[in-house]
Amino acid sequence: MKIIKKITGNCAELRLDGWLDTQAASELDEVIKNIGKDIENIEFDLKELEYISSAGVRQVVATFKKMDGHLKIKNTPEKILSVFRSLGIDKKIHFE
Amino acid sequence: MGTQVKEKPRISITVQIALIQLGALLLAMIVAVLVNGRLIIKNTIQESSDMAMTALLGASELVEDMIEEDGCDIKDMQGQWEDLHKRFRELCKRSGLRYMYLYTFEDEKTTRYIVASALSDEDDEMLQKNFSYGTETSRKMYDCEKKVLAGKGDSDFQIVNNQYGFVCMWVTGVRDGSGNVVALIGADYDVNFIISVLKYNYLTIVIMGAIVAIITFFISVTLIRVHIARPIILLSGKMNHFIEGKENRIVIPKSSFRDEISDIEDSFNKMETDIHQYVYDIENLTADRVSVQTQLDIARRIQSGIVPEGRTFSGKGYDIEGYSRPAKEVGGDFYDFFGLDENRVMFAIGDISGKGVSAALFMMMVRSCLREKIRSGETLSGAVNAVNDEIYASNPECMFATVFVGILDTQSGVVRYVNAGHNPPVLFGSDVREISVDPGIAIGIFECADMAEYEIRLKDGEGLFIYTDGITEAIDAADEQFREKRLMDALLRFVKGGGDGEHGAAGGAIREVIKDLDSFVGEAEQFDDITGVAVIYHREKKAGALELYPDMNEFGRIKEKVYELNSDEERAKTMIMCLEEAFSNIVSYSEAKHILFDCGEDAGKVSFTLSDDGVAFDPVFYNREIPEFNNLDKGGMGIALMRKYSDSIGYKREDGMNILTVTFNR
Repeated sequence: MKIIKKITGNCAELRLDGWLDTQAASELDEVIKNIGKDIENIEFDLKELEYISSAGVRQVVATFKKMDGHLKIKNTPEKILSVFRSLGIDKKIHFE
Repeated sequence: MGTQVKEKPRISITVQIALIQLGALLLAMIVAVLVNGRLIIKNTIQESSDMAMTALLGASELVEDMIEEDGCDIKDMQGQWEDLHKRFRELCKRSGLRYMYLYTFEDEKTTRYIVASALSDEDDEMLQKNFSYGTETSRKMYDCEKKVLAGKGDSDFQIVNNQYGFVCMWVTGVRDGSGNVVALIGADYDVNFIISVLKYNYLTIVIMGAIVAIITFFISVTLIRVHIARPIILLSGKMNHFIEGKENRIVIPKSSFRDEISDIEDSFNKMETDIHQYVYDIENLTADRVSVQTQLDIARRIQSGIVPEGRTFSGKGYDIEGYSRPAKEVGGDFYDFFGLDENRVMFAIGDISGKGVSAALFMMMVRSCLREKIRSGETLSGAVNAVNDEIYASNPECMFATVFVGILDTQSGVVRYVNAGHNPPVLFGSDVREISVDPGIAIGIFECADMAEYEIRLKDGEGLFIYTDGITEAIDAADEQFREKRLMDALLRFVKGGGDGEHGAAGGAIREVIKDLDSFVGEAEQFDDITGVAVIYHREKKAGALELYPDMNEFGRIKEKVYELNSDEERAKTMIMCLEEAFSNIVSYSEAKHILFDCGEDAGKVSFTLSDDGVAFDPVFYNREIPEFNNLDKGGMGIALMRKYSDSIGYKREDGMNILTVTFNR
């Protein structure tokens, strides 16, 4: 997976391209952990995300909890969204 | 360097004998001539003295008769002179005397000759001139004359050499009626004559002796040549022919008597015959040995075709390798393995009592019988008991065979086995141990041995090592045995992945053991057949199955497989999501060492199997509900996703393996 990070003020936009599998999830975890303390909002751009595993889902939920809900997910492909939906996550996190 | 042997001169035996004979004859002749010479001299002198004495006696009697009967006076004998001179000459002729004369001594220095006769006319003429009747001469009286005159003997002699010749002078007295010596008669023998007689006698003897000696020499040499030298030369030639290996055509002529030479000939003939016989016997024996060796070589080749030094047999679920090295040309150990049907493989090892040809023959019988009975479809124990009964019934030498025979189910790893008195096998896998088995009874000893069969289950990768005691009882130069401990150490090194890097292959186990055995035994002589078989069970992996290590990096291989099966990208991703969940669970929690992944498709229905040898865990039983959102990051939603996206999930625990099956319908 390719993670493209773009910081604008206190907002970090992370573009996740490719496969968010178990290994990619731990890479993403590293990126989130090391993100600056002044970042208050994180935005995931899933436009090019092709695949997500449960570990990936788990990382998304963990990021949501870490940011106290300040997580925005945009451009979610239908297939990926259906995974979130099947776990009832779309009820808590807003997908654009 | 060796001293050079000087070539000795060759002198033939005939020459040697001739030289010895010649020497002996010469010596004999010298002795004979010397001894005879004395006798000849003595005889000749005796003869001449006898003649002289006879002549003197005749002469003195004649003169005495004249004195006594005719009354003649010695001082006046002129009338008788004619007669006496004639008679004396006759006597001279008869006796070979040179002179004969009658004389008196007037005084000690004056001799008066009466008659003097000589043998030859010339001498006689000279005598008549010098010593005619009455001639008186003055000369000294000889000792012999003194003796006779003194009456000290009838006669005597003396050698005299004067102007009248070199003579032996014999003297006798002429006595008158009263016995007084009145005159002397002298008779002179010519010494030169005596010497000439002696010479003649000597020469005669020497010539005769020489003739006899030469004749004797030639006769004896000829006889020796014919009877001794020739047979020896022939015998020597015969011996040389024999030594040179030529055909012997020399015939030694038979003599009418036996001697040492004929003894030697007989001994040689016997020796020659004996040696020919021995050579013939040895040639036959050698030919027999060569023939036996050839037969043994053929037997060895036949046997090594049946029980080769190494043979490998592997297929789905099993890998077997056998090894055998007989101590002699042919051995009594055997191993055997063959496929019984699609899922069963038979393997066996046997050790026959005794060694060599007998053991090899018996081994062939046991092996063939075992093959036949096992293939007949009986149970394994039934087959082994049938073999026992059949061998027992035709076993006049009371030989026996210890046999371990097993049948491996290549699907399940179950080995059914019968042990007929053989040493227990060694199990090698995660550890190495001897498995305890019913000792059973060796084949061929008792009728109705009634042996039972048992069962052992091999795990994936585990194996059995069966062997004959030739391995464990092999001794090194110090007479120490190899023993089970060293065998198991070698197998342990094999399972730990040491050794020659043939990890997991039966041949690797065999070679590890044999390598240790050979370095242990070193140069010591092998006295028993060495045989071993390794059987390793590998759980069958279906076509396309993957063997994976518990590492997330390995998951890529599963992904590839899934893509191969699906042309639909999205469907593949769904499957991958489910499988990733299952795989990461195994990697993270099960402590498994090996993971097998397999997939199959049937009428569009795709199923995946993940098997692992980790701790038992049934993901189907757990996590039936989707966790609360706040707990989602703690995990547990993977199973939920799998449930959601797959059509069915199945779990079973089998042979220490977790087997998870995920199925997707069309």
